[in-house]
Amino acid sequence: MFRRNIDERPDLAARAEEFGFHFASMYGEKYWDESAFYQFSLRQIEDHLEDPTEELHQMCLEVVKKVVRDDDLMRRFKIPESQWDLIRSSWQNREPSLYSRFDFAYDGKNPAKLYENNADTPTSLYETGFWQWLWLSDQVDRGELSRRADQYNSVQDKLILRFKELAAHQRHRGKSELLYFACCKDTVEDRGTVQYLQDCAAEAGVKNRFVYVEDIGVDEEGQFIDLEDQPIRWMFKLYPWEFMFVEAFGELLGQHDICYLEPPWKAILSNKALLPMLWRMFPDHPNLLPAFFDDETDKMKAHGGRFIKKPIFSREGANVSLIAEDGEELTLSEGSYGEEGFIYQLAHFPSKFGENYTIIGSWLVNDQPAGISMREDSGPVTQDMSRFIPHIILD
Amino acid sequence: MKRSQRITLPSMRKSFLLRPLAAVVGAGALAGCSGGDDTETVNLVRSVEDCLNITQMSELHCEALYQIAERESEEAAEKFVSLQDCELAYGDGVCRQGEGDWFIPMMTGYIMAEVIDEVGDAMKKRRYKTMGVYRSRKDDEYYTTTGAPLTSTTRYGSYKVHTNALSPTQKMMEEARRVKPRGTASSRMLGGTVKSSNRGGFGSTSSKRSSWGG
Repeated sequence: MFRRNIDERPDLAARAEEFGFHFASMYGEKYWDESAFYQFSLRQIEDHLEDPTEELHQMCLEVVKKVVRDDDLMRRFKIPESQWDLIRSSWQNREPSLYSRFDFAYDGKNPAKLYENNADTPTSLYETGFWQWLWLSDQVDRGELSRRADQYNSVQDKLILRFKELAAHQRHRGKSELLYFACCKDTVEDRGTVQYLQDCAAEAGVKNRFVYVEDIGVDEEGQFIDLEDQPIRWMFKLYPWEFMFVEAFGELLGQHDICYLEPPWKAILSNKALLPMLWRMFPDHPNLLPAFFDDETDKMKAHGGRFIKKPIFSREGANVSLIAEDGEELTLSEGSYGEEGFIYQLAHFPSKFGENYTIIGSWLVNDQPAGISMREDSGPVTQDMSRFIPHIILD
Repeated sequence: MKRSQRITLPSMRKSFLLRPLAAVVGAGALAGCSGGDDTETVNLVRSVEDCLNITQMSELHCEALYQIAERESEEAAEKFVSLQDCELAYGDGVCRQGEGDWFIPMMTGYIMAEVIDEVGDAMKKRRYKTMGVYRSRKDDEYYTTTGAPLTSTTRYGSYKVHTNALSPTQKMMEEARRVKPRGTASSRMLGGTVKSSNRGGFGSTSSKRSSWGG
């Protein structure tokens, strides 16, 4: 695993315009950075990232299986009791999922370590599935990269295939085949992710519409409706379950027959309580970091070292602090999360390549490993503003 | 190979995905009532909204017929073994990979015409003819999926097409029959007749953060 410098494509801006990539930079900062790339061997990809991703996903499903049955654990995961039925029935009915992303620390040699599972609302999908794919194709065409260079990235192929399967699943159950896509207003990144998914769905022949989360309405019967008052019966929402559970319309969830992507049971996986649960069920697994609940902090001493304190519900590395061996707490990132409580995970900083701390996003589509994305930050805790770097496989 | 094999760039180009949809809509012509000559006159509209404005159809119909025409075009459109051959015939960036190992042009628009079955039934059954339309690179003219040319007339946006070219396939007819007009749909579409009760019950937490992506 190397980090190599490379010239940007001279027509990068024109390519971004041509393909509608509108968030190559965000808030005045460069977000897509192709002045460098990471190079992996095939063995690193297959043995160190792809296989562990599949295994960890199966382990996560074991956690869901255990937690949904256990009221105490549901409370530990801070899931409102009013939503337990929704989650349980979605799991019992095996409601299908679309995609997830694990975040790993990996240095090319030692086992990748799982930071967290973005199982509910992962973004940076377009950059992964299409934009870095196009970068490789362009750089090979220009002669800047070897024709033998490959990429671990079948995300787009798998998404289209998955949408076909999901539509067939709806059809067989006699459910709506019109898929609504929803995200919040005023975020170009989220809208970009959703537009990409819509394009993939359309490519798969799935009829779809878009509605902003804030524009979703409720009719006299309590059904969710779009801006034209048409009922929403199948919906992909790029909006966290834990917010939907407690917002005004949360009490209507489960009252009507609506199929969701991601399904409600994903609320158990996108929850940081997953991490201590995994450690409890699969202790000393090579891809896990020791992790504990609030009331298990006495076990931290046995592992020596420092721990990272993370809120149970948080996004993009907000509200993280470092607990030193002597118990002193140092704030690493600010934010507005944490009211539901915290978990503790052994401090394990991302691998450093030059001045950059690098995190690998490992994607699953339809329960299958599908590719990776690389994010770099100048500090050890990944925030919203980290840069996206492409990668290749070349032995 | 560890990367996607089926990505076709033309379908990823936003400038083409957002191209205006030219729809050709039957001007109320009834099949079998178009007189002695063997052509029908159809109108050209530029978007689904125009379909709503020009015809009496609901959005449900305008959209559903588009879907039918598109599905049919998947099978009936001219097929090419390579993207280059397809683009040679239809223009750059307007071809995509079909469901098999071939390439087909993307529809420039679609024809639809309303037909009224008069089978001695007081409740006349309506059905619709629909078909994809493509623009040929060779002469810049419009052609139907069945290869029949659309001849422009002196009136803006108005075209003539041979009646036989509009004969839909059996499958199209079956699908079109399944499109049931819904009494409430069009009145709902026309704005404000059904009051929208309650909105904004989701998204309130979003003011705290800029993006939910993880």
